[in-house]
Amino acid sequence: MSNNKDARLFDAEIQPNDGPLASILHMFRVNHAALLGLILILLIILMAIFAPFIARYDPNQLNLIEMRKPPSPAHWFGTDDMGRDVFARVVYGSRTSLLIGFVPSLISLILGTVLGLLAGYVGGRVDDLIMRLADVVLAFPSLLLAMVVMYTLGSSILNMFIALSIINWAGTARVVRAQTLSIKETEFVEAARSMGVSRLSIVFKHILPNCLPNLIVLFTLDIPGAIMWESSMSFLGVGDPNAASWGLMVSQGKSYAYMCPWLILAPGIAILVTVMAFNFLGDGLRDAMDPYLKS
Amino acid sequence: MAELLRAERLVKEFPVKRGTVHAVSGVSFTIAKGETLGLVGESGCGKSTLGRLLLNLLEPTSGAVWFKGQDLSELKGREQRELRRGMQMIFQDPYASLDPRMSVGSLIMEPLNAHRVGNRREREEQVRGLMEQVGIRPEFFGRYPHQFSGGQRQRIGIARALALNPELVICDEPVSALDVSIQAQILNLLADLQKARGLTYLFISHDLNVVRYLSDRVMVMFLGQICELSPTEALYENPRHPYTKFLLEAVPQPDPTLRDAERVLLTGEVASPLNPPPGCRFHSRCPWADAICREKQPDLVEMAPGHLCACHHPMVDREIF
Repeated sequence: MSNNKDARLFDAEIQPNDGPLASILHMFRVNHAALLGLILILLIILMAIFAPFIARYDPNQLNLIEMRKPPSPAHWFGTDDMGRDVFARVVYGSRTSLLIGFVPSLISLILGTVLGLLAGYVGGRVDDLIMRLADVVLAFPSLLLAMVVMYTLGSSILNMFIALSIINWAGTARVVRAQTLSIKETEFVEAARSMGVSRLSIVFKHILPNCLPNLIVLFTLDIPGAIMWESSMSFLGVGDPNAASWGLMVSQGKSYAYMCPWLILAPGIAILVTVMAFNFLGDGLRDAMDPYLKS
Repeated sequence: MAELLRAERLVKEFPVKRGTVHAVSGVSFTIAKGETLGLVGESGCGKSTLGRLLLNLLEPTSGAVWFKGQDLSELKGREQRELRRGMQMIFQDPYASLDPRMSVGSLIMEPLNAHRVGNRREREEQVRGLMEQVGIRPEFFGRYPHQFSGGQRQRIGIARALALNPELVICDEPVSALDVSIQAQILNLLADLQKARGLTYLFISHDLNVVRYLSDRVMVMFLGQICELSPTEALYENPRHPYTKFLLEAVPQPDPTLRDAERVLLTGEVASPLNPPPGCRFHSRCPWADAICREKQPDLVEMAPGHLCACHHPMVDREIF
């Protein structure tokens, strides 16, 4: 057909293939903060996995002779008020903190996405019900709400997951709902409807994929949020007392803050580095996903 | 020719805060199998709304659409979906009507998936065939829409509309978002495809030259109503409705030496569809309007064979001034 010739004519205009993955790779080459974030996160994950090989001491081994020793070649970050090696505790604490970061963020991501899609796509009473529920959650100060949940259910790591998921889902649901409402009205969704594509298929093939960039960013920002909440709650004494998290270490070290600053500095810096690494990565991912949508 | 689609007194009203927008007010017409019916009118006259009513993308306030002898609104669920397969749409903006996150191949395959046509391999085969037919190289199966130019994207849109082998294709301003040089290619492609597949088109546009090029018959709309419906040449050579006359007068003349300095253009404001005037909807702008035009709505009557016009004072070889 004569039109084939036309298509060949425009070959020169075709840009190189750059799907979402390629634009993310490109972002890491340009955005060094995001690359640093990614490397730090990978290092922290490796540290959590290989904790027994990195730390020379058992994090729970008491040693009353070596109490509150400052950092030394034997104890890199010193020892705490019961003679436990602070370095070992920071290394092992990464397990708890990463778990606290990932699990509730994943739960609230899934919960928020499902509820947000429902509210936005179905609309009407379903929308009202879900969004009023979200308003109620968002109206409470998050820390207070999470602490009430922890007091009611008891202090355990599982209950910590529940408490953090409860305070985080509402924000995700709002973002997803807003996106759904705007994507629902686009011409490409109308085009799909005109072809007889089912509602379920429109939600999963068009609306969800177009929410995904925002969801990835939300997820990477929720993780440091959850780590911070857990630290705050442990500091305030409603965390799981058996899980050696960084927040708990800061909390326990606060009585000796002036005498032995390493007790709060070591876990504090660990929290700072982890949270910043996730924030850098999240910012970079957001930038990488944005122009892809527009071009 | 056999009737393929019939619209019967279609009405679409949108309730808004300050009243009701009368987008389409009592439109009736038929489209014969194999013909191209052009639909022209200014922005906001209800062209696109009418197209969406025919496809049942919008529910009409009243009236009915008959397709292949069946009333669309009387069918439910699966039966309606089956019947609607025969009617597809090409959208105006090739940038907005393709999901940026889907590859070209999956975009064209989407209607095939929705109607469970064949197995995965057969569908892929069919998609590659369609790509070739509309002039996109099948090697570009895995590319994304943003890698293509506007004209190529519109080709993808056309391939999607043709995937289910429709009989009627509603083209909603398919070239108005494209450069003029690309417009001709797309129009020729549409004409070629019509010949090859025996398609019927409803071609919506505000560009009178484009409509003249493709259409067998042309329908002129003003404020949600048909004012003239006629075979193409009769309409362009001998318009009966004053509005059509003025529309044709307003067509830009590309050759400056042929430009007529004395060209008469319409004045006055377009009446609002929010509160359409009683009587003829065009009377507020029509130089020949008199008492009857302000009171009574003119009926669509046949002035010459196949030439319908809704006007109390139709033009018969009348100069504008």
